[in-house]
Amino acid sequence: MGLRIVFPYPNYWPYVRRGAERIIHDLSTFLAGRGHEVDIITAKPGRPRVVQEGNVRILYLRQASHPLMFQYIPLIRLYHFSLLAHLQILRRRYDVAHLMSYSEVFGPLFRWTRGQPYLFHLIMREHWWPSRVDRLIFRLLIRLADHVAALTPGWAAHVSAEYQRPVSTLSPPVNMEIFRPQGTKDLRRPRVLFTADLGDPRKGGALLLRAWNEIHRQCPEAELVLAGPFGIGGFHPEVVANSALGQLHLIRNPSARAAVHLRGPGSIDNFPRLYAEAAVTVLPSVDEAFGMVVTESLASGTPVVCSAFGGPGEIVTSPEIGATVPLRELLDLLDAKRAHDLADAVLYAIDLARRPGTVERCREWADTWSLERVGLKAEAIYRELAEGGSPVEAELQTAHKVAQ
Amino acid sequence: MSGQAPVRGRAARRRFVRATVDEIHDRLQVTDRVWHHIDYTRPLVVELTDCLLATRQAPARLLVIGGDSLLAYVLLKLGYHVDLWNFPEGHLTDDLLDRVEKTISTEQLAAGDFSIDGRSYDAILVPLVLESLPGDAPAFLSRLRYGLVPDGSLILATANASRLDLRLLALLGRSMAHAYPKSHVSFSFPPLPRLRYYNAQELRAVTRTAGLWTRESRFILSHRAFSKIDPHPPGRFLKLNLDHWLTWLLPETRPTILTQLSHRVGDEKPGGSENAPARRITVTLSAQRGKSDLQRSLTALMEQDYSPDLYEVIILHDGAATERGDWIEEITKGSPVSVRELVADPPEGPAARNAAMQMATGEVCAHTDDACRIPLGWLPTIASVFDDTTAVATGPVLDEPGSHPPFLTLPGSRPGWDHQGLFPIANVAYRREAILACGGFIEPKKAGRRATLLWDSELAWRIQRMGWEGRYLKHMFVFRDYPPPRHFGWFRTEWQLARDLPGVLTRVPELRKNLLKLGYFASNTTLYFDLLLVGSIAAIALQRWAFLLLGLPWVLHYSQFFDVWPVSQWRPSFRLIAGAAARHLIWLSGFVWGSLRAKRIVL
Repeated sequence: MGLRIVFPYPNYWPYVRRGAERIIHDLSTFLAGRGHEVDIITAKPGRPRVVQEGNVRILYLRQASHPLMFQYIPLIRLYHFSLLAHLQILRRRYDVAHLMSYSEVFGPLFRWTRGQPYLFHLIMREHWWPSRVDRLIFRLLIRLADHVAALTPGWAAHVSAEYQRPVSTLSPPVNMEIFRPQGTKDLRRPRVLFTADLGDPRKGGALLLRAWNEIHRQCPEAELVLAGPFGIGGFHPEVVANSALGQLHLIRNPSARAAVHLRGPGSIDNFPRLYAEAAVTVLPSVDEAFGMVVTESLASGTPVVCSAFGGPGEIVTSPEIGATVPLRELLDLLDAKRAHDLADAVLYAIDLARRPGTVERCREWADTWSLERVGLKAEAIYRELAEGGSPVEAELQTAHKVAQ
Repeated sequence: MSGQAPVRGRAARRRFVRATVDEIHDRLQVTDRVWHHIDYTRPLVVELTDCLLATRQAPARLLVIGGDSLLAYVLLKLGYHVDLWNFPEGHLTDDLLDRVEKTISTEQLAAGDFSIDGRSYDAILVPLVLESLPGDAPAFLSRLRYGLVPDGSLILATANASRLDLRLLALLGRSMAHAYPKSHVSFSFPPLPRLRYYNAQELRAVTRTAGLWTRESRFILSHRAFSKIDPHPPGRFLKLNLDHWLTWLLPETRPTILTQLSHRVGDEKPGGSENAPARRITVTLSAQRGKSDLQRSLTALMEQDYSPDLYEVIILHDGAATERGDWIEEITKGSPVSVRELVADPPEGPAARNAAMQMATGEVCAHTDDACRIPLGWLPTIASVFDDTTAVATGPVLDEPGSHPPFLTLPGSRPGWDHQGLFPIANVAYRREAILACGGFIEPKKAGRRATLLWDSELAWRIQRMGWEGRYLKHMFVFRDYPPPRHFGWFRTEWQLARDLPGVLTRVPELRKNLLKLGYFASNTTLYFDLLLVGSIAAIALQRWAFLLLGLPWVLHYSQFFDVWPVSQWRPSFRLIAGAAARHLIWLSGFVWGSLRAKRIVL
């Protein structure tokens, strides 16, 4: 029997194109394909509207935006969304709700008022809750959740220890059908791809620009494609200046600058082809909970360069699929030595892309996080929650094993 | 909603454009920061689309240089065929990137390093590019002309140098450096570096130099007061709103100038005539006097320091004097210059001059009459002044020694050494094609009726409004003999001229500055006379004789014509002053009548 599942999250495609939105999209499409009724409740700039995408219904609510709000309390946008989303959820009984880090600040109300079961999915490493009330609500969200999941086993163990409750692993899925080798990979003019958020300094775009001076000197035929989104509207505008977007001048050589294409995120449909045609995908980020860029690139047959820590460090553990750079904190992204390391790693990955068999090896590696596997796991969790059980025991054991 | 827009009336068209733009913007498949950047500049898209719809409805072929995604989608939705030129700094959606025909830099545009590839567009839209060109704007605009169909439009939006923030910075003596950013972030219109701004008059001059006719120019609000996603403290937020409302109230302080340009009338094939080595000129000479005057003028024309095969003379006369043909034959005998006759009644006036220009074979039509003495260098001067942008040229008309002195003449009736904005038919030259294309001189509604005052200057100003240049050259002078007025016939003539003046100033507002004093008075003496009249009426009506002092300026002015000694001169002096008063009275009645008809006060 099909379940009624809801994903309340303040952002969604096409307005925000980061990891959480990709998880929601892929999971909801998978679940709808398996006969479940799936609603995504989200918000958008402009007028509210409802969109039906196959069996998935997307309710776009009105998004709060105002200069004074963003100056003083940007989280009002989140509270506003939470209130509107609650009203929507109250109108319709769902079997299970899939909440994510910033989904629902009033999530505990679900439990108290409606007994609504929910899965709480920690998709961030460090959450930004400026007030005590926010932090209290967040703790309650975790405490009252029927099930808590993290993106990687390592982080699941960490969170479990911190909040003293079982936490399982539910990794972001990668759709191996969509992300696959396609188009032509022109390795005579190797393309270095950066698809993380250009407006977020933690994604390390500026470090890549610094490294690009060296990469271009050693491999002048290479080109850099900046194909990430430009930050979430309204949040952290001052950091845009510190991100890749505000620092293109870091590339000093004019010919190196000419080899950089600021493309932006482009259309969703063209995205997989970008990965497949690239020689290497670079994600030099810190505080990365998972790094979907990495699995998507690997699924497309393209080696990666990423941080040796955090989520990406847990994914890229073989030199046959890419290289890692020791990036642990924001200061590392300003370090000239790290820029040099990153350049070396990118050049290594370009070389790796030219070796026969790399495409297949990358793809095989990414299969661990395939939508089929992750989707079925998520479905099992929802079903357990809807039936009143908790599937956490086995997951908890796995998480502890990994942590040990 | 796609295809032909249901446009009836300006308000309906604007509502339609707004609704279309809103609808497309709301459904744009872009990330939220891009959505908000586009939202910030949405008013510019509305203005550009509205301007385009007013001039050219779909289907039509358009070229957009440096637009944003919203503009391109709106134009496509409306059924236009759109070619896009993008800048490396520009941000477009993937769908639109596939449609980009050319990625071009501002340096290439400024250097003219681009081609339209032999295509012709019904309209070319160039939003917010001109201020970022590192070189010659007229050269760039002039090159774009080649891409326009004969009745095509070039729609230009550029930042306004007179906008509020720049005015305030100038007033406060603050640095304007931040108003010229070398780089900034924009996901809407391309974030090109800002190098220079134009004000409306300057822009008009630039487009005129580029050979374009400014059909419409207005100040627009091209963006919202603030972007909703940019954080601002209350003070700055209030300031942004206040600035926005102020600029809404005071159009000249708005951030952007929107200009609709087209080919100048009679110049639909740009560059066609600029390579000509020397211009062929047709001189039209109106002959209304006797043989000696005709001989003097015609001989001067035939002896011009200009190749005889490069000019011809058309003599306008009424055909009444049968011997005139013989005189012409006798004067031109043996001359290599081609001389033709054209009979027109009256031989002077808009109809006769239009007929002569129809008959002319020269690129330039010069006009004069047989009251003029023409210097030898007149034609070479005329030939040299007509560059690619000039359609009309004139020069001083100096009084021939022995002429009746210019005493008590109405403004505009006696051009002198200084340019008063007049283009007198006695000394003017026009680019023939441009004149014929814009309809020539305005002829009286009924044949044989007297032409209105300044009928000759009206055409020159009309053609300047259509993008052509009008020139005044001091070395393009002629001497003209003015006969004394007829003894009694002047009443009617002066009254008619005075009656015409308000109407002329309504039709040619450019003349007001030079022809009127204090904006309302035909001359200082008419002002004094009006004061005298008001003072006299008030003194009689109110029995307060102090009001008579208002007539003092008039009395003082005319007292210089009163010969006190010998006593025998008193009588003619009184007669002269009485004549002046009579003339003022006639003028005043003409002014009042004309002002009522033209709804424009001239006193």
